[in-house]
Amino acid sequence: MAHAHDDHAHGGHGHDDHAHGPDKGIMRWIKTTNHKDLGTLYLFFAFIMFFIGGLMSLVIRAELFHPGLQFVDPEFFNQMTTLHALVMIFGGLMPAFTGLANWMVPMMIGCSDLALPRVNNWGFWLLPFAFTMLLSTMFMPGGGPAGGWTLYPPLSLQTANAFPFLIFSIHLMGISSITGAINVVVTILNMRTPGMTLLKMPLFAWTWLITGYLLIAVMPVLAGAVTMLLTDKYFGTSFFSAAGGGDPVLFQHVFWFFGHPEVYILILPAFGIVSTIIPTFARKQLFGYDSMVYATAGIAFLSFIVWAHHMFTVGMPLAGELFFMFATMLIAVPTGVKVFNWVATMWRGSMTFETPMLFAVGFVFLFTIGGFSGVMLAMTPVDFQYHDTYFVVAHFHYVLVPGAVFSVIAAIYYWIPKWTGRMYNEFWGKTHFWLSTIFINLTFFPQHFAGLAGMQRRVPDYALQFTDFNVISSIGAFGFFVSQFIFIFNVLASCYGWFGRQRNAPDRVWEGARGLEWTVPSPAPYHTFEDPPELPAHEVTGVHDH
Amino acid sequence: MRFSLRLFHAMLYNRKQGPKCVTPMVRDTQIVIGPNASLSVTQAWLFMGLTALVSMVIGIAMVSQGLWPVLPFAGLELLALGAGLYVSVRRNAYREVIRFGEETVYIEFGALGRGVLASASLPRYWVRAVLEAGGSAHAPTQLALVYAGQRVRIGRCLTDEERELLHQRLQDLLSSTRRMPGTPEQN
Repeated sequence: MAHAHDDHAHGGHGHDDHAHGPDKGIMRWIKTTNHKDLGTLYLFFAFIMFFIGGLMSLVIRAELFHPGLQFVDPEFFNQMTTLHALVMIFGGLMPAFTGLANWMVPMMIGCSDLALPRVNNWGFWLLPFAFTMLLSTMFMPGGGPAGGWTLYPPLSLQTANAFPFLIFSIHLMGISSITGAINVVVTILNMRTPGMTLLKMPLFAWTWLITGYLLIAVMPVLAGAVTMLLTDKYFGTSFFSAAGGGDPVLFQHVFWFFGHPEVYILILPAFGIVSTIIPTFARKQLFGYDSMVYATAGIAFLSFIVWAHHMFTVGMPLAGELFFMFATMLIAVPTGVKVFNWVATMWRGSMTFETPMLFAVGFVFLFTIGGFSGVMLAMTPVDFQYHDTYFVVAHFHYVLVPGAVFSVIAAIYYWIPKWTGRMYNEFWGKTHFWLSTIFINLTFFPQHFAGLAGMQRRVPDYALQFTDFNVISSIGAFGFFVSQFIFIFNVLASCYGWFGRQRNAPDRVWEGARGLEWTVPSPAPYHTFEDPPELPAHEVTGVHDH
Repeated sequence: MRFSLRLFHAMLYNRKQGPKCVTPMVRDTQIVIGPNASLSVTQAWLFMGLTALVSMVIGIAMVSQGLWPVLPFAGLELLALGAGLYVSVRRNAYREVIRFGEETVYIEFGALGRGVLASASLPRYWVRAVLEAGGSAHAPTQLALVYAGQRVRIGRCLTDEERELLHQRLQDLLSSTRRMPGTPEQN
């Protein structure tokens, strides 16, 4: 649609490449402005980062298998914990969700591409440079960053030569996130097909719209905060230096003002994915679509006013602690709305449990465990005991791994027949689910007990009484890592037609699936919806006209 | 319903940049076609304003704590968002105007606020509206006004169904008043 009028309006320098297929060879991927190509690039990049971040977690778990120092020195261990977090958050999860948005948002809302395709290309290609720079810091004199992903000063200012490279790579990641967010927001606002009002949009588009808004709101805070760290270290400023009249605790406030919305940036798209998959396999409309939208917006709003629950122990007025405690507990309300809506959608549905549904149901169960431990952590007096223990590690990993990561895996199983035209292998998909679920619980559930018993996080050694918990955790981590190879082979087999997989997936791969993406052939044509499609009532996943 | 919306756009078009009519016309002999756009300029301003408000409140709160470097980053990001919205909404301004004079059909391609960028005129008696299938099963249909080897493609920004409706409308307009140039009108 948009390119058609561009040809006239701008003398033919619009996206007239839409008239033909992709370029050949490597240049296709370097020059592409096609949302599907860029979606694929984002997803492959995310998987490389998940692999690297996973290897780092194995270094951590190998070291923690027994008390005492086995394989790495404490400095390198700290580098691993820091880089593992940065790589998984900024290199794995965020690009994975951006990749899914690239692939699916235009097809879901019925437009030909994202609003700003060249910006999309630029946004992606910043990432390999950013992460090459970040990972290269491990080989610099003095090693990589080791002060934790939160970069608290003054500890983070002790980073050696790696520091400016770390800050620059964070800036590049931020620019990439911003370009992706602006692109998705503008696309959703301006390029919806006729008849698709905001409350008829698929929930994945809604959750991404709100995620994009959050990114736009908080990314400048991160950019400003890390720039101030840089100037404190190299240009003699004292924003966070007590010696010069600054306040190190102020950095924690600033960081978490970005960091807590960031947590929701990582989970809101996951809510959208699960809200798409569960109705498909329950063969029912999503229960309470509009309440899901309002709950998402409510969570996004609350995410701005709860940041200090990450730092109850640093010292703040009692009124502040009470405010942040109650505001945090309030998040359980919209989150509860979501969980109850998913359960109500499944209630008396004609349920089947194909792999995407297994991962979605697994998400509902295990994310809720992470949510409950979050409510525990929200209580100020209790947090004084839990703070900086493995209980916190268990909490956020339950939210991010069987939460966000499971949703990415579910999304890929769900949409890969649409992307490639080939089904994945259901047996291996289910095997992957059960192994992942068993091993992820084996990894993180004992960490609750280790934390409650007093085991500190970010230490390479621990007291003897925590050994059993850590042995189980490490076995689980290695098992989870190895299980993911089933997924990788299953996905690659669908991509490349290995093991005789035929390209015979129907348009509507899942009989219960609704939405415009299921009205186009499988695999989806390189250019979809050059004309904005009609929106039939039965494809509307949102609120219906009565 | 969408056509009535586009007649509204037609009024805007004429009020701002539309060229003067060469031939006298009745109201319904002008068709204005615009692309689908789910965001109006007002809504874009509203969204931009709300986002800027949130970002600026955060930025100014940071400045009040002495953390001024947040503000320029917020400003830069708002500039990027504004540019993205501007580019996207600017594309919505594309218009095709088809006017039926007594003997001539005028076709103009332009944009709101930027006037006519390309135009063609065809003799009304001889011109035909042709709707053809696309190059493949899933390619969009093509609608063109054809005259003696000249082919002016119109309605690119419409859906297949809308092109079909427009095709019927064009055929009605072309056949209802069809007469040889210079011959008297029959009662």
